Amino acid sequence: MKQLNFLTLLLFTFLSFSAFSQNITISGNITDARNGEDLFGASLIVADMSNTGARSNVYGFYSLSIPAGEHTLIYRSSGYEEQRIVIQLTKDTLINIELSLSKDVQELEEVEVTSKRSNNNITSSQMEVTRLDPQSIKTIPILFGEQDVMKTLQLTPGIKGGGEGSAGFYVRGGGADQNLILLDESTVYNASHLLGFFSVFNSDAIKDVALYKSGIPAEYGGRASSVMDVRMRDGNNKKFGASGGIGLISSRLTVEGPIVKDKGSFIVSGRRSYADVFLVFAKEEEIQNTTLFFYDLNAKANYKIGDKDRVYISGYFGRDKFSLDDQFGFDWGNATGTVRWNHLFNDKLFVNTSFIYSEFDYRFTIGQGEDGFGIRSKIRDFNLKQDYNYYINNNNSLKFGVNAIHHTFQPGSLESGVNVGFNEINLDDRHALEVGAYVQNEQKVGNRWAFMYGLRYSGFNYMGKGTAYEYDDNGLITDETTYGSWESIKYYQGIEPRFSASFILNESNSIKAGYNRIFQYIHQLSNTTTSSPTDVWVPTSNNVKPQIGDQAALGYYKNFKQDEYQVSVETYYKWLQNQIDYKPNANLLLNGQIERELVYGKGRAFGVEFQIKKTKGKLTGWFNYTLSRALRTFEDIDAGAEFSARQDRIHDLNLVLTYEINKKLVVSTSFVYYTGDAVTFPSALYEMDGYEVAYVGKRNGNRLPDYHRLDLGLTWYLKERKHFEHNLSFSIYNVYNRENAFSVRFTDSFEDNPTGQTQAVQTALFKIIPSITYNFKIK
Amino acid sequence: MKKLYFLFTISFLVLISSCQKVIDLEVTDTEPKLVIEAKYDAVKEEVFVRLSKSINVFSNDGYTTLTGASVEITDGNGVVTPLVDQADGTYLLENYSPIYSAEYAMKVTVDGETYEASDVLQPVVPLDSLTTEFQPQTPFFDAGYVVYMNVTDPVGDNYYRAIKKINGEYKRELGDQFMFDDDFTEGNIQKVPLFSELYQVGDTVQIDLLSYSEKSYTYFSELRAIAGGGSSSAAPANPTSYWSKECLGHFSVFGYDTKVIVIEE
Repeated sequence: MKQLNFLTLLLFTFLSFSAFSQNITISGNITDARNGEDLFGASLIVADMSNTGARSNVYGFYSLSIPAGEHTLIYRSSGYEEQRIVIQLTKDTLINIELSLSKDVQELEEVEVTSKRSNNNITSSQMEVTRLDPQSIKTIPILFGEQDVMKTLQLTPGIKGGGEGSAGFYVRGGGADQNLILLDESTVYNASHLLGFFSVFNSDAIKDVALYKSGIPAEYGGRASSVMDVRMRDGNNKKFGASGGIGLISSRLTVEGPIVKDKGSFIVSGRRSYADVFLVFAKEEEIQNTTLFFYDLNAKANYKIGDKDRVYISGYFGRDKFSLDDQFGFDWGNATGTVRWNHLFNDKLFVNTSFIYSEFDYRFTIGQGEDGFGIRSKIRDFNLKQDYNYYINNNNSLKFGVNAIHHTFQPGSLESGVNVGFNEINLDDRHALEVGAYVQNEQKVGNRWAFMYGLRYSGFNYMGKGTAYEYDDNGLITDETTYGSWESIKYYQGIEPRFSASFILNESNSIKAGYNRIFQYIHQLSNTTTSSPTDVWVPTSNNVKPQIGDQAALGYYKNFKQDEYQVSVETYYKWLQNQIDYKPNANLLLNGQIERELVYGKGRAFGVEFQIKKTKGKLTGWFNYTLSRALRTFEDIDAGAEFSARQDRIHDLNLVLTYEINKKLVVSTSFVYYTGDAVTFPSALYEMDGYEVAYVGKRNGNRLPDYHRLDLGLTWYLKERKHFEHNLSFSIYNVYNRENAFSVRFTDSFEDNPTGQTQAVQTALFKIIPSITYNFKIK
Repeated sequence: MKKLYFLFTISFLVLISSCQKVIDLEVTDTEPKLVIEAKYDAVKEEVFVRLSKSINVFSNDGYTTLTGASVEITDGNGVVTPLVDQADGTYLLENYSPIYSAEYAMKVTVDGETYEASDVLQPVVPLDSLTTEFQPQTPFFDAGYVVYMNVTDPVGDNYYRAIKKINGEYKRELGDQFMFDDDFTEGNIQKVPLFSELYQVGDTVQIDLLSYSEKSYTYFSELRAIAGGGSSSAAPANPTSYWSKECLGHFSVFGYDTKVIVIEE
C-alpha cells in the first residue's frame, strides 16, 4: 500500500509540473576544452534575466527553459574562463560548451572582475557539500608525499579521520560504517590500503569528490551519516597523453586518449607501492621473500552514440598483499565495475541507467599445504539503478529514480591442511535485496528562496537460502528455521524525508537548513578499536534491526571581498537508532552465530562548525574549528549510562594554507589539532591467578593525549616544454616530531622500571617523515 | 586466531618504525574492591582461597589481604568442609579428594557479607603425548623446536588450558597462558602447537593440560583478554563474575593430565 502511495505521489508530481507554459529550452553539455572531460556543477546564467540559471549534472548535462528572444548566456565553472554567448532564441536549441582553464593569476583576476560573483556556496539550496577536485589539493603536504583525497577531506569541518593507522573516518559523530563511499556509483567497502595509511583513490584517476554530510539528496541511501561520491575521470577525448609520479613509497602512471576524437575516450591509471622491492637487498632469504605492497588499477572508457546517447564502462581493481615467506599471508581488495548508459529523451529529460558490480574480499593464510590453514571472507553486490533528471522549467528541476541491490555475504570459511587438525568451516552465505525509489524537486521561489525536498523509500529483504536463528537473552538458540532461495526471512522498509532550504539575505549572505532521515541496512562489525580488513559486514536480519539516522542542520554563510573570503557556521543535531556494540570479548571471526554477540543501543551527536576560507589570490586555504560531541547509550554497557563514542573529539581544529611564491614555487602547510579519542582505561589493579589484572573503568571514560601535528610542503615546477611538464614535490610530515598516541597500555615492565610501579606507555606510529615525489605529464 | 592476527599487527607496526614512551596520564580511580580467588586443584587435592583488595592504577602500595573470614567448600554430596585461615589472607584445605562430574560450592563470609559461587569438576581429558618438530631460523623467529600437544578430543564441548613448566620452572608470563576450546576441532585428534616459545635440545618441557568447565574457561579467557593492559579491544569489559554478590575473582575446580618431554635432536 505504501509503495502504491509513493508511486501515485511520483506520478502526481510529474503531471502537475508538465502543465507549465511553453518556453524555449536550451540544453547541452559543458566540458573542459583541454580534454573533453564533463564539468560537473558548471553553471549557466542568463545575464539579462535575474535569478535565472542552471547547473550541469555529473555527466556535464544542463537544461534550461527561458522565453524566446535575444539573450546573453554566461557559462562558468570555478577555475575556468567564462564564456559569453549572445543568441537569438526561436526554437529549442542544443548548445555544447567547452570552457578553458584560466591560464594564470592575472587572467583569474580579470575573470573575477567580469564575472560578478562565484558564490555558489551562498545561492544553492544544498547544504554545504565538501567538494574537492584532486587538482586543487596537489600542493597540500601529506604523508609520504602521496596525495590523497580522503586525507584532505579529513582536514575539512565535521569530517574526522580514524587516526593514524586507521582506515575509517567519522562524519559528524556517526560511525565509521555509516559513510557510503561510492566510486562511479559502486560501493567501496574498504577504502584503505596498508591498514589505512593510504586510500584506494588514486588522485590521477579521479575527477571529483563530493562529501554530503547533511541535507543528503534523496538519490542516495543506505548509510546513516554521510555520502562520499567519487567520480573517475573520463579520459582525454582530444589527444593522447600520459602522466605519472615517482615517489618513495609508490609510483603511478596514467595513460589516456581519444577512442574517436570528440566522441569517445579512455583512461587507464595504475599505482603500485614498492616498500618490498628494497627487501631484495636484505641478507636473509626469508626477508627477500617477504611481500608487502598494494596496487590500484582504474580503467574507464566512454563513447557518444549520436547526440542523445552515451555509454560508459569503468572498473576499479585494487589489492593489498602481505606475506612472510611461506609462513603467513594476508591479502584483501576491492573490485568494482560500472556500465552506464546516458540517454536524452528530449532536451528536458535526461536518464542514466547503470549496472554496477562491487566486491570486497580478504584471505588470510598461516603456513602452507598440509601444515597450514586459511580463512577467507567476501561481500558481493549487483546493483541495477536508473536515475532521471527532468528539467521542468526555470524554477523546478526534478530528480527521480529506482534501484535494487542484491547483496551476498560470505561471512567466512576455513580450509585446513590435514596436519593442523581443524575441521573445515563454511559459514552459510547470507543474501539480501535492498531496494530504493525516490523523487526530489529542486525549486526556486522568488529571488530569495530555494528548496530541495524529496522522499526516498527504502526496503530490505533479508532472504534465503539459509537458516535464521532466534536467541534468548543469554545468546542461546531458541529456534531455527530454514528458508529456500529468495524466500523472505524478514522485510524492513522505511520512508526517508529529505529536505533543505536556503534563504538568500543578499548576494553575499544566506541561511540554509536541512533535515534528512536515512535507513542503513548493512553494518560493519569490528572488534578492535582501529578498523581492519577483517571487519565483518552483516546484513539487517531477523535479529539485527536497521540503523536509522536523523539529522537536522542549520547554517549561515557569508562571503567577503567579492567572494575572496567565505565564512560559514553550521550547527547540527543527529539522532541514531539501533546502533550496534559488542558483548565482552565478542568473537567475530568465523562465527556462525555472530548476531548473539551484539548489543543494541542509540546515539546522538551535536556540534557547531566554524570555517573561514580564502579562495583567491596568492595565499589560499582554510581554517576551521568544530566543537562537538558524539555520545552513545546501551542498556548493556555501564548499566545504560551515556558514554562517549571513541570519535567524541570535543575540539577539532584544522588549518590549511597554500602560498604561491612565484610561478615556480608553491609552499603549503597544514596543522591539525583535536581532543584525544575517548578510550577505556583501567581504574584499579588487582591480583588474580598470580597476575596483576586491570579493573576496566567506564566505557570510553578516559582520553588519549590530544593529537596535534604540523606538516609542510613545497612544490617546485621545473621548466615546462611544449609537450612535457614536471615538478618535484617535497613534504615534511610531523615537522616538530610530535609523538601522537596510537595506543596506550599499562604495564610495570617497560624498559628499566626499578620501582615496579605501573606506568602508562604510549605507542606512536610516525615521527617526522620527510619525502620527495617527482611528477610528470606528457601532453 | 586472535593471537595470530595480533602477531601480524605487531610485526606490521614494527616494520613502519613505531616508538614507545612512558607518558603522564589521568585515570579515574575506583574505591578498593574485594577480590576472591578460589580454586580446587583436584590433582593436588588442595582447596586454596585468597582474599585481597584492589589498588589504584599508579599506586606504590602493595595489595592488602583480608584475614579472619569464614570460608567453606561444599561437595556434590552436600558435605561442608571449612578452610583453615593461614593469617596472611589465604585459606587452605589439604587432602580433599575429588568427585568428578560433581558440583562444588564455595561460600566466603567476610565483613558481614556472604559471597557464593559454584563450579563443576570436569572429567580430565588425557594428554596423549608431546611431540616436537624442528623449525629452521626465519627473520622473525630463531631456530628451535615447536612442542605439540596431541589430544584426543572427546565428543561434546571441551575447554582446555595448558600450563608450562620449562626446566623445572612454571612459566608465568601472560603470553605463556594458553587456552583453547574445541570449536574448530570437535571430536578430532588435535595436534596443538605451543607457538609462543621454541625450545632447544636438552630442554625439559612439562605440560599440565587442565580441563575446565565452560564457566571457568570463559572467566579465565576474559581475564587473559584484559590482563595485557592494552586498550585495543572494542568492547573491553571486566570478566563476568559468577559470585552471588558484587566482587572480583572466581571459583574454579579442575583436574589435569601431565606429560613431560626432553627435547632431542
